[in-house]
Amino acid sequence: MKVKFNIDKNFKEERAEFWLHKMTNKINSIAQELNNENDFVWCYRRGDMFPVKFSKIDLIQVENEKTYVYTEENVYLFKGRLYQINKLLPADFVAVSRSSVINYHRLDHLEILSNGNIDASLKNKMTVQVSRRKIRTLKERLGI
Amino acid sequence: MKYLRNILISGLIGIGIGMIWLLVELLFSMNSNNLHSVTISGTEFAFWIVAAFVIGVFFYLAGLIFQKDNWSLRKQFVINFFVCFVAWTFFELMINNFSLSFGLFFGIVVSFVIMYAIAYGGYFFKLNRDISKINQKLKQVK
Repeated sequence: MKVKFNIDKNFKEERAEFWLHKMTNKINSIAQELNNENDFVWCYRRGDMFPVKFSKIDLIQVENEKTYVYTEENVYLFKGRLYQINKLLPADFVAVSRSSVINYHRLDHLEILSNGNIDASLKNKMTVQVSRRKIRTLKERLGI
Repeated sequence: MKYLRNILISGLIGIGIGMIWLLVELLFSMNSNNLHSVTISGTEFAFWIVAAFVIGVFFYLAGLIFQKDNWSLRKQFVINFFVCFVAWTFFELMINNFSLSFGLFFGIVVSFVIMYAIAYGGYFFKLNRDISKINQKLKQVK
């Protein structure tokens, strides 16, 4: 892989770009390392505020116009819109529909139902509907 | 740009399917003659190419119905089927000078159902295969 550094103290914003054939775990880890400003998001549970680590999040889903963050142990409320938390998320997360984002490391398997819909079963036994159009994105993220 | 690329690809797929259809029609028109005696004019061939391209693009645009996520798959299929069927019937009537007969209509229905089955059967076969690949990959990383 060719690596190129452009160093100029006058740059307004530091950034790194990757030009890849496909995403791999190694590149994902490097990207996380570079993007280590925050590895958590502030969420609410029973009125209290908690820092929820991204690595602990299984699923983020909009229900009744509220954004819920599901970890293995708890459910938290994010006081913002899905697109706002989407901007903070690392590359481990994939939008599987307009209202759901999953941590693909927590994905157990996909299943096509008799009505033609596709369900994603997570390791925490939750299921979330996957849009057929997002299957390609999921393939790319898994490096297929 | 992506939108234009998808339209071009769908048109080219239409040409591919159209050429297979033309070949089948030519083979049926052979009767007892051999393949060397079968002819097609340049105008007719060009018309097939253009028509197949347009039909491919039409199917792509009609396929955008499947992006209505708030509709059930059954509803999406039914609406898409009838939209495409009406367009296909109009096209067939147009190339037959709008002279409708039972035989023509029966041929329209059969040819459309076969084309639809090939197009969407292929789509769902690929979708099933993609999901199998994803599940295999997920098993590997467990």
